[in-house]
Amino acid sequence: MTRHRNHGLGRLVARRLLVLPVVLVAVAAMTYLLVAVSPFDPMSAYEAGSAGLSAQAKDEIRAAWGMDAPTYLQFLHWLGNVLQGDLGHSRLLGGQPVLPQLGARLAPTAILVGTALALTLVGGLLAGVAAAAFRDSWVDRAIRGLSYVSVAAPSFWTGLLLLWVFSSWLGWFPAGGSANLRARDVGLVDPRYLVLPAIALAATQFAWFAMFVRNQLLEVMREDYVVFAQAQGIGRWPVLLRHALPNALLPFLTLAGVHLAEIVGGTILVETVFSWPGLGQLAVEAARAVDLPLLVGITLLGSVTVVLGNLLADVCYRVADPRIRESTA
Amino acid sequence: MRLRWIVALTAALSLGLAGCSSQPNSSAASGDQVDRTIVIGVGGEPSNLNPVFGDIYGSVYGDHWPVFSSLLDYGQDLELQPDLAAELPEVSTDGTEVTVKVRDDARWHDGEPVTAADVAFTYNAILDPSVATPVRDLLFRSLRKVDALDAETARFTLHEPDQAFLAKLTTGIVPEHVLAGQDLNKAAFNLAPVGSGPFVFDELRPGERIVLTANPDYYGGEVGLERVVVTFVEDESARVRQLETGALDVDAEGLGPQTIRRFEDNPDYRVVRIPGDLLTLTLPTTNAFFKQAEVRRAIGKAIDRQQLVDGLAAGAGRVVSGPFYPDHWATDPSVSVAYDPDAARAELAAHGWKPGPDGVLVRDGERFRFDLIYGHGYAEDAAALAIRDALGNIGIEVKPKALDYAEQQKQVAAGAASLQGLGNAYDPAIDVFDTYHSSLSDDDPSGNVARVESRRIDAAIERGERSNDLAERTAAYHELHRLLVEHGSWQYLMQGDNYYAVRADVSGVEPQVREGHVHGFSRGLLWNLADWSVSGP
Repeated sequence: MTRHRNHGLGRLVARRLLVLPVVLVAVAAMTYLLVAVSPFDPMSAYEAGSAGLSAQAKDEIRAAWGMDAPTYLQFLHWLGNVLQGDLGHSRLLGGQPVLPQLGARLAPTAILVGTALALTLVGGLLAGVAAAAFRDSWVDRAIRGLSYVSVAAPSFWTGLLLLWVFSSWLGWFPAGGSANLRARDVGLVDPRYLVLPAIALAATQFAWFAMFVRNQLLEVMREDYVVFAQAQGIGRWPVLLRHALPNALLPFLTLAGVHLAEIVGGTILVETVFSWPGLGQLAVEAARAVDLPLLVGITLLGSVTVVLGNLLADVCYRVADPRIRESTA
Repeated sequence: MRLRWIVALTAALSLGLAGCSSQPNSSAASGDQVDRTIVIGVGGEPSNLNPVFGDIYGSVYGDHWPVFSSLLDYGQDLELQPDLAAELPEVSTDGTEVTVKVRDDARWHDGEPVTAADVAFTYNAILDPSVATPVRDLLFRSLRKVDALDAETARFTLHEPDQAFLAKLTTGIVPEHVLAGQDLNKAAFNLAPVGSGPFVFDELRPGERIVLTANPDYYGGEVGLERVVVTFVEDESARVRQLETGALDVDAEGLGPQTIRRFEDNPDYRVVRIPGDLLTLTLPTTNAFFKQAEVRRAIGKAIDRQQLVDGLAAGAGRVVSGPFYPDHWATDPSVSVAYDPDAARAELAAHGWKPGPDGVLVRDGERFRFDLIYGHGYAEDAAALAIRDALGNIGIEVKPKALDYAEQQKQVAAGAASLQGLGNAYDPAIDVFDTYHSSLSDDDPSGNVARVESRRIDAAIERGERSNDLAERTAAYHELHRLLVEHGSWQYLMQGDNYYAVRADVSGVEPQVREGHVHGFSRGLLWNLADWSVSGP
């Protein structure tokens, strides 16, 4: 049994990891294609006011950055360099190599996404269980109401609201950034600076999980074995938590994998509102400046995160559910 | 009974969250580590700190970080003064050779002496076509080469005399011994520079801050601030929140005339006001509607410039009519454009434009209707709508269109009317040729976007550029001012102010006069940052 299970899991992981490079090349090609058809001109970043650049100056700058070749050749050139571990140099970041720059900027975003994901899962689970347990009571109605509002509200609006209440008005949290600007030798991020952006980011996805858990629980509660358990005289909470919840949790994992992509994408707005020094803000800048190596680097990083996140969710799913375990074995 | 642990768990979780928040908001920071540090908020993260690549916003005029010093610099009244140069440069009688002595007491932050070889290296790097800098084209088309004659003397050789050349020697000088042999486009120096200015580069925290520390060996004397933290906050309301919670000491990006009001009556802040860009309507002669000068002038007369000042600049601005700042020597104070909508209507009627059934002017079945191109932004929207209303009043239908810069350039090159913030506080010779000379009106869309083709305008530009005599140059530019008003393709409308907020406990804040652009560090608000100090921790 155990050997079989590991075998199945191993195959799943191997298959996904083999497909990953194909996915990444396709994503990179799509990014190049999108940029090729977009109206943005990389030269505009070099011009100011009415003082335009001469055609010769533009040609020189394009040549210096290899932007004088057709886009498909630029892509092939880039692909060749990637095979040697070089993701290119970013005009937007002082001409520095993309990979180490991304590495340096990854941590704040990873911390923000990780915290928001944890908040979403825990918050969604607790709220869903509470709503199911007190179905149709004020607790349920309040949680449902909050869910509808948080799904409907755009994250920048939620973010501004949080800043207004908890920073400007109550003064509990700082008004943006990731660490005290005056402090020396600061760490990666200061937890107090993390709270509001993490909540704003989690708020965008929290409702999906809360409503999902609630509905799953209510459905499972109608299953025969739950009815049987209740008939045996087992109390409401043990039935809910010990019998119903584990079964409701399985699809929850898949949902987490899917919504990870939404959370990663949501960082663009949230980081801008909270001046959070992460990749989301940088992605916007890279797109505006048509800094292709940087833009592609960030896009690939996002893609890897989403693919690995989904894989992790699937692995957990299989480990948790013996039926799926056996069918793949 | 069993409900209890869920309640307990929830309570623990919320307490945990609250625990994070229960510390006091110490963004004003604690104790021993914070004296003489100043936090300055700017809008965007600089993409390159190397002055060879232009100023921190990638644009022109040789701005540079206070990490660097330059041969010459501007004083408070925008007068050129020596910085790394021992004295003002010597210009040969034919105007094609400029010789500069470099002061002998300046050192790089790594201890090496600054020499004429560094000066030659810097400017030759700008001239190198493989170095991807716009500065070569924007400022140094007249420069042929630079030689270090000895350790202290650098000689610039020009293709032709350039009146504005000295004003271009404000580019930060970079160290040859650090950069020689490197591909400058990709040098690590670009984000970790070594300079010879009042502040030493300490740290760049990506996406968040750049930290500078005082240079103890600065040749310019003692530096008042111990540490300067520059943080990047694009959103205006975010900068306001950070100012109000004490996270920022200075907003150096500029706040809108409405936003600045909340700081004006607050004793904790000082509001600094510096005259800004000129709001300019461009009517290209290649556009069928704007072919005749009379029509272009009629459009100018239909706009109530004083009303723009009242509406867009909250009354705190100036009406203008020409391309130079109102108090600049090149501006002819006797020239103005009177608001006269009736005369405008009459002029347009004389050219066949008669009101149609809906009030919009019609000629030969064609409606007088054009797109007005401008850049995204709240203030920009307001300005475009004001122009639409003013011209709507005389029967011209204007459709404002906010576009990104590249698309603006394209449409303007194709003859679209545009609304922009422009202006030059320095020597007019820096840009008048590029902007109005007929030799640039054909092939290249970058210069002379309004396609001005006038012998008299060309002559005035050339006279102003070639003469060495201030009285003669003044006369030339005054005539240019008059001729441009007559031409009507460039409608200079008003000058608003740029507003900055600085916490009141910062002293030494004495902004440069008349620096219209929001410029980074060697100009405007921050030009004398080395003289600033913070009184309290």
